[in-house]
Amino acid sequence: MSARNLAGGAVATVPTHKRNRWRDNHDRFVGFLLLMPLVALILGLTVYPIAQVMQLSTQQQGLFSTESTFVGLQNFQNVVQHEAFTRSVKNTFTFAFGSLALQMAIGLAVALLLNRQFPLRTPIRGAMLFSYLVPYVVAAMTWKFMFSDATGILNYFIRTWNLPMAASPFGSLDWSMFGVILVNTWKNFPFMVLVFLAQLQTIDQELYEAAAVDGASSFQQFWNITLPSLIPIMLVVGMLRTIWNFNNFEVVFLLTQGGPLGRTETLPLLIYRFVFGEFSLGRGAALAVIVFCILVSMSIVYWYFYERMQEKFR
Amino acid sequence: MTSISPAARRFESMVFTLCAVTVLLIVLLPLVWMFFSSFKPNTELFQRPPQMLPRVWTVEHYIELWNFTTFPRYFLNTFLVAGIACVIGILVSLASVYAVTRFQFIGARPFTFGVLFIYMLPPILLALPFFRIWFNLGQLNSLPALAITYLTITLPFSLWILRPYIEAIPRALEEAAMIDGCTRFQAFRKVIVPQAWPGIIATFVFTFVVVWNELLYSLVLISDEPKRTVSLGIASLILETSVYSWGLVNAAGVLATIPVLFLFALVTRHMVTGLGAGAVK
Repeated sequence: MSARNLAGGAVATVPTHKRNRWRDNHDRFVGFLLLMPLVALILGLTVYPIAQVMQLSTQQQGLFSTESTFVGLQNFQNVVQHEAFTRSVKNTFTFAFGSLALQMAIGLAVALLLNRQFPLRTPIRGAMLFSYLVPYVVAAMTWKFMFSDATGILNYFIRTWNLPMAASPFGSLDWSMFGVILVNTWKNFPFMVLVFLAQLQTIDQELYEAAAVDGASSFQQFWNITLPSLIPIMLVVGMLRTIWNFNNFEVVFLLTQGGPLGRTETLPLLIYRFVFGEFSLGRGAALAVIVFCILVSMSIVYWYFYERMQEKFR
Repeated sequence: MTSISPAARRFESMVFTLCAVTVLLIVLLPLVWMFFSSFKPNTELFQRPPQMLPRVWTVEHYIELWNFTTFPRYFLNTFLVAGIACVIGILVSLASVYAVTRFQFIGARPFTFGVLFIYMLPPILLALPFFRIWFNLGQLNSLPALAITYLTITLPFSLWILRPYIEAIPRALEEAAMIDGCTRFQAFRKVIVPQAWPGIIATFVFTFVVVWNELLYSLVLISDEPKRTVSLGIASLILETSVYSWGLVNAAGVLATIPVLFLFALVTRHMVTGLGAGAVK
């Protein structure tokens, strides 16, 4: 009550519109102050580092040296002509899209299963997320352990049952890429399950009942009701996951370090090798800029398709 | 509609449960194997054919880990670094989400939510300049520097998760508080923060788990052994040694997983909505 009286008193001395403007401006100033830390942090933690990478990519620069020489686009030329470059681009696309396809397929199948009604559904759903939650190091460690020669359980069964697969895939020329894709899929498919489940729950059940009355088989129901309603979200998470698979460093680094003979060396690993293996910050930065450009153009292409699909499915 | 007898329906749901449990067991096998292996004595680890359950249960690997390695230190480091990065991330995000939803600024909205595009950047792209920046400032191997670097992860997450919570708070609530004599800051502290508390907790858990699991930044910025984080500690165990002491590594893996699962269990509902809505790493 006292505050209202005070305000009334103020109105008596200052014309209303003026006072409001003062109060508005004061408020805007407070709001501006509140926003400042974020602006400062973003400038310092993102914009400046990115500018720094761009600048480094034109320098000849050792990792631990303070001297640097401007070399123009020399680094870019060196990177593109490097024997590992084309191979890494191929590896990265194989890894990113191979993982994406598996994650999508398994994610969809598990989401459809978990969308049914059955006892113990909630705890099973929760536990299904575990592999997504554990640290990458733990995921890599336990898979490496299971495939190791002396102690591995999977290694043992591949040998005793003569399965058509390398018993230690991470050291095998032909199976190492499959191995890292497998672990990346295991680690990240629950993300797909989560997103698909959320979307499945928005589908109107009456649609299925009506379709059943009209005699649609369950495959027809899936094809004509479930799938169309999942496609928009599939495109969105498909893009996110592609980019994240593309950027993934941990899985390959921990399991194979890009080996054997560069068979699993993806672009993030090549950047890491340039910088921390060969101590050339300039070349690493140049490759990072190239990767950045690839990502941006991929996003643009994706976005174009997404818009067109959106129109089709609206 | 075709009518299904209750018995058939019960049978059907049992089949689904069975399927789901089977899938779950396959998915969890690596973690279950890690868990049981961490309690096996060394001789059993190398036993052929391998057995799932330990015949003799032992905690020797945990004792070794605790007494003869630097792991306790790694845990402390990671708790500190993740805690600092999460708290700063939440404070900054609270302030800016509040500012953006309550005041009109040209460009503020696109800016705040454009921050999400940090997700799209390859972590290695940011790791390079951060290495250089902290090297120039003489702050390599510094845990505070690592915590600041982790803000690039916690900030976008916090903004994304907190926004709907703050937006949902009716403005009339804080206006009422201000009419009753609160300053804007008091209104913020006494109205907004308690209202958004569930969101704040969810954000904390969420960003904490992400930082706890992070490897690349600590790999690039930290080389001193006593300054390592848990992820980096385990990574160096599996990378640097050629003959593994698997029992020890498995025990470390179990201990590194426990905080994550514990926090997750604490806020399952928020986590699930957050994960789904935020579409996050």
